[in-house]
Amino acid sequence: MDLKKLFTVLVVGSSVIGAAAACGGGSDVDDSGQGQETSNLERLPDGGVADGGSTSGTGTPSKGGGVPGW
Amino acid sequence: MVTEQVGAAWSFRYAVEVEASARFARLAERLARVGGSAAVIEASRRAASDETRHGAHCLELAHRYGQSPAEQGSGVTASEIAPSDLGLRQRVLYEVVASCCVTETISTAVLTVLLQSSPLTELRPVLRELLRDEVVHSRLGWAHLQQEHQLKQELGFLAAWIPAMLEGAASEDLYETGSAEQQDAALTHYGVLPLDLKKEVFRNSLLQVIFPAFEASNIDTVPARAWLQKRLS
Repeated sequence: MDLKKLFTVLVVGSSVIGAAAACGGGSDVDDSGQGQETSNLERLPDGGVADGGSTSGTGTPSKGGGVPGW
Repeated sequence: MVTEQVGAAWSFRYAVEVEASARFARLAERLARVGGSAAVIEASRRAASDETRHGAHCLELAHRYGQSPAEQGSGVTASEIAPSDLGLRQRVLYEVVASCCVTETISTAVLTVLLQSSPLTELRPVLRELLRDEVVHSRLGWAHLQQEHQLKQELGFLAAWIPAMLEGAASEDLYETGSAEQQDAALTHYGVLPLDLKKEVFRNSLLQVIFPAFEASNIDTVPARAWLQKRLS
């Protein structure tokens, strides 16, 4: 099974989104990597892999820190 | 008879899509908080809407094949998956990588193979629609990772966490030998991969797409490759 073409479609092709960002978007984060983060002290809720995984609101098991898919 | 397995698969996918919708909506907000690009934020917002539509397709197919999953309302919340000791920006990157670069990329591969595996005629438009959207969902993850790479953000921390992301993306049956029913080639007609083919798609998605892409961003894939060798050799 050869899925190498998907690398081109998805990874190289992500530049389509990147190009849109260059035209109309851009990052508010400075080169030091701080930007908005330092002015926003709100933290994300705890949970996830560091706490041993969790169960989502749909009852879909979330194990190990990843997202279940197809 | 494959009906029971097919119904169960679409039922599970319904739950996956509903959660994905909630996750993308939340990611759009979080990406905005950490300076994600406008294009990636907008793509994430659209993805939330896409996943709701996908969920409706999956629910309809689950019903068609005899399952009645509990319908989810708008109050669903996505599980937190990122390690709680990371900073905000790294946690957002973790979630984008796990959900888009890993899971959506694998979903794209699954749908690509399904469409090449003679699905029922009436199922083909649904699979095409899902594939078209999943391509964008995967791309938004790679675009965000690339942006962080270009901004010289520290990405090395991801290497140690990729095995956890893979563990979470892999369904339990990937570690099983599989029954005759799970290997039935007729499953592909109904949008479900026989188990050995599912394992092959998972493995090749990692080896041919995801690992090379991580390496292109200078993210070490040695821990991830070791996980693959140990869990799916």
